[in-house]
Amino acid sequence: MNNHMIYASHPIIWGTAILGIIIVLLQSGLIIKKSIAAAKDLRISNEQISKGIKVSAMASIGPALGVVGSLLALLVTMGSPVSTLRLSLIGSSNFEAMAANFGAQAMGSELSTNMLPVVFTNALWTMALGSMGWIIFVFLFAHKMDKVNGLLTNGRKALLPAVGLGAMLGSFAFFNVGNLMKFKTNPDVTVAAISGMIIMVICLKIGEKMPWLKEWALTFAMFGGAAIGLLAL
Amino acid sequence: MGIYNRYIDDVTKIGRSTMVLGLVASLLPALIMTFYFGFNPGLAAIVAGAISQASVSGAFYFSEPISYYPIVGRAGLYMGFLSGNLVNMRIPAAISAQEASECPAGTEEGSIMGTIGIGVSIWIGIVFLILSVLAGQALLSQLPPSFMALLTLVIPGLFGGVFAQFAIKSPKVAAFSLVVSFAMTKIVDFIPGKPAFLITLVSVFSSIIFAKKLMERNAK
Repeated sequence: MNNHMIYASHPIIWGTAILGIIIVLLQSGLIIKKSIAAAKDLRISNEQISKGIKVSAMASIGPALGVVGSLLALLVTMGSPVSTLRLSLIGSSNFEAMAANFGAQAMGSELSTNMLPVVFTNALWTMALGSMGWIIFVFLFAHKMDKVNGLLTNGRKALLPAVGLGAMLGSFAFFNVGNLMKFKTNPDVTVAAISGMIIMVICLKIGEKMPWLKEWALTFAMFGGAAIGLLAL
Repeated sequence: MGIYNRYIDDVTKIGRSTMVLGLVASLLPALIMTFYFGFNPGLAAIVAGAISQASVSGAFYFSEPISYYPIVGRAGLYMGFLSGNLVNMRIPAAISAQEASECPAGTEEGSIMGTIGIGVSIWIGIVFLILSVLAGQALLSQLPPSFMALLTLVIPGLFGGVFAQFAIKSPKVAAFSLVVSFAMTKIVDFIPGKPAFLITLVSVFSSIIFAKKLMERNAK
């Protein structure tokens, strides 16, 4: 009995996955509850709150499908419970497969549908240990980072929106430059990115007259961009 | 103490304690395989795997929380890093919630609405994961390849859309950040080890400074 899949879908491993997911849901559930209470205290209307919830839920559907796509890649080698756990807790879609691979390679093996249980175990160790750095850093420093914002705005709160805007454009410019530079190797990615930009601009322009369109803009941009990227090439 | 300060103190307590729990939970599968089922890869292999991974992600442990803090705030860091998928799911959800509720980023109201958006996206993400696991591998592998190809293109489309959404607010900052990102991408290629984390850090912080200068000048 040297196939790892018996263990990969063992009830005890399922138990750990369920526990991990409960912790993530617990954290966000508690924080959502506190946030809604605080929002009401700050006199944000119920209507604004429910609109925020509705639109962010809509904006999450596309990326959630993307994560499901990477789940499939992981399922075959790591099994359902571990894949579900890793993609809900700490991990992200492009990190996990790489980490699992490093773990298997450290045992002189590789990821496959038929691994020795001990290779599977080492892949688990690498996934967990390799992602601990983010948690430790955020645990230690997140509550001290207000000082960074204070430094960036020289203590002037009125400048905070500029900080957020600069950070958004700075980080997403980097992702887009990466996608635009793929025009030779993966032209479909480049087309999807550019189409996403154009659709967003159109939706926001027309949305000035039809407010409902603004709420759907991001959804249209991601699916429309993806569809054009797929069909154009 | 104001409403917001009391709120953020509560969130910090919840955030930090659940992160410790999450850390333990993420180690459990490996611990159970090693000590309960008795498949011990040995310390050397465990360390070798972890070091390979850390040599790729090590710098991002620092650069990502620092770069994304101005976008998602403290609560966003706790939620985003415990659940993962920060840039492809959490940030778009946060800005969507802010835009829809008309609470701008950078204000207390905006940061609370952004946090609610992140929380919602975590629940949506987990619902979809659970549904697809229940649907089962066999069914999922029956999906046409073109559908899977579409899914891989959703994220580039999303990144383009998010960028355009903010570029409209300030085309100058948008152009500046594109130029810096492109230049940094080229520069990093020349540095030994290609430290990609430098691109985000330089791009984010130079864009912040540029946006701030612009805002100060316009205020005058």
